[in-house]
Amino acid sequence: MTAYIESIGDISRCVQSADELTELLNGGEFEFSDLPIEFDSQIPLAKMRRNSRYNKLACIAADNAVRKAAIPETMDRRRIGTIISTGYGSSVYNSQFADTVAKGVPGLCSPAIYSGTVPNACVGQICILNGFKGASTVLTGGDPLEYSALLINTNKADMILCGSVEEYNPDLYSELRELETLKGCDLSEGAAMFVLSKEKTEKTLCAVTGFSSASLGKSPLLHRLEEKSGEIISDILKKYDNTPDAVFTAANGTYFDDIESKAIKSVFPEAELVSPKNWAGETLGCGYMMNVMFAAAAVNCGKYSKVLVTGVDLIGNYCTAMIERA
Amino acid sequence: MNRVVITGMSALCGEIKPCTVYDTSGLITDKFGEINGLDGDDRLHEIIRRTIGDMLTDAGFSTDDISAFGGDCRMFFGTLFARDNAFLEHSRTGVDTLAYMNEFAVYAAGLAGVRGTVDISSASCAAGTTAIGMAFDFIRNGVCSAAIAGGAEELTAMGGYGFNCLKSLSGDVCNPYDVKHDGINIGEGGAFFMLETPEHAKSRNAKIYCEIIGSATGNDAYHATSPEPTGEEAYHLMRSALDDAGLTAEKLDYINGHGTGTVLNDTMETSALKKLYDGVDRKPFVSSTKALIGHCMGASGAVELASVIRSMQSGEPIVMPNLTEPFDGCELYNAPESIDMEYAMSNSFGFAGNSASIVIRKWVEK
Repeated sequence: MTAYIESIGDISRCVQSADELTELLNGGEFEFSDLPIEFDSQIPLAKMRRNSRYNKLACIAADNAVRKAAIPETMDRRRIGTIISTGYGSSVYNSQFADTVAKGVPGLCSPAIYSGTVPNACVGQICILNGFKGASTVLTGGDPLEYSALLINTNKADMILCGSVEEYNPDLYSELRELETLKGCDLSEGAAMFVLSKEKTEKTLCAVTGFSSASLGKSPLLHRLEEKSGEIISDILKKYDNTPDAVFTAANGTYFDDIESKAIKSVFPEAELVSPKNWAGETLGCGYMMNVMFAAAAVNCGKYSKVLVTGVDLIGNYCTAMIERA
Repeated sequence: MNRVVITGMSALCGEIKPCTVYDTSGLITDKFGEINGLDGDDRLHEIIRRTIGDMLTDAGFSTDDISAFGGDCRMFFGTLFARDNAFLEHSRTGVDTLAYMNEFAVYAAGLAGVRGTVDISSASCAAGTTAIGMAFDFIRNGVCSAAIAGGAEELTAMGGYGFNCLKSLSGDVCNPYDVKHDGINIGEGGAFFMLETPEHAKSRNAKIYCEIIGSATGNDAYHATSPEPTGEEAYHLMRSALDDAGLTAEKLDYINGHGTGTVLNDTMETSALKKLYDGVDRKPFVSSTKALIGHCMGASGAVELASVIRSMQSGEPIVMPNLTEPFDGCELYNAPESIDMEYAMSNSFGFAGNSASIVIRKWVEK
């Protein structure tokens, strides 16, 4: 099941353009933004004025990817899909709305806030801004890249705007920082978006050529997993019949790093291990796609010819994808 | 490509009545689709426990049997409100409840013994149908060989207050597709299905309810909460699902519509249906399960698919009890006395333009 990454759009604490990404991978130094991350937009302010910050993160990253992909105007928009994932969704708006509900006075509730609480609010706005009417959903657990590749390979879409978004929520992040399982990592936020195509073009950055995944039972971000979860990881990786030059891992500075690295080394002893979360921070439900973004850029700029990307989400899915030169 | 059949199912839903789950004073209505007899404070987990447990029994699987699939059996879960009470409790008490708001899916997968990945579809009211459609696509194309798919939703104050401030609630019991339609009744419910290939089902002598033969998802790209009013995109969605199933519209015997009972939805859907059946002699019966149990939000597609399968088996049509004058004179909504269903479609249209459609065929042993 192969799909081609045509373009990248990203908002992260370290870089916010494909050029910056390449520079970073080639040894460039960038300062990390504090939370919340500030970001620029090429979308006219008037079009985003009523949107939540969650929507803005997703839409602006998506816009960056779409602009670079230069999708022909003549392409049937019903053949362009949107498959996005997130971990906690529009949590700031949910917190705000919950605060008004907690007061017990229905008249205080804002319809604008409520309509922005649904996790798929961002995909709706992306579709409105770009006219995309194809296969569409938001996942709050699971692999949007694999599903997108499936849709493309089964002719349910010609192109997919695929990616992830995770928004900083002060209350949520305060709670997360107290967890023993996240001791040692830097929490961050961001969005990583790709335009995927079923055909290689002159703009193609790289190819996604394989997937393998399973559940660890619980998320290592939120639960202390035992060493034997490494066996599940090894079994997932053994499904690949080719060896990557590098593995972009889910390592985030926590206890799970050792479990994962041992499992990876048991299957791919020669592969270089890279930790993109050293740059982007731990972006929770966006972490896997953020890793894919770094891998795609690394393959495109020639640092590696084949990279295996791994990631975990908030419900225990361990997802992997092979990224290669197209 | 593999064929995909449903070999186990269980559904739980309520009747539209005065809500006892939370204080509805100040809302335009107190009528919600509340499940009777749920014990304890955690209704969502109980809905999940009962529906997944009963579904596995119905399918003839134990939790160990599902675990034996390894990563080859996945879960696809549709929901919208499942995180609401984590936010509300935090707002009310300040207690740390947010980090683990997605654990309901971990609970569901653990209960079922699923070792493959778990996808949570959060496409608003289209979440349940999307989840089942994803499971269908994954098995059909050999990505996995079995799946548990469905959805679950509990009544939450956030949902009630939310739809109240959007002015979407009915002042009484909802009346989908009727000229007197005035809004929705929010419901709670859950339904889960066992999906596998017919070859695998037959190898273990499993009963087969039906075959899933097509699915499609889409986006209106129109508005955050309102559907595209001409029904053009809903029409294209149904066409896509039919194309995926290899069917023409005249083959459908029944369509379970989204049928919320709001003016906007019913107007849009009726337009889309009329467009689909323009010039077609043979037309299906169309109705909405929401007229009976309310709108189960992210679980609605799952609960409604279960109702379609029951109707397919029994020959009893899903009749909308309050329908007296079909909206826009649409003849599709007139219920037959009985229904002989070979092909059926179930549609869901949600906030933010997300939409999903699924097509099933009655299983007949040859």
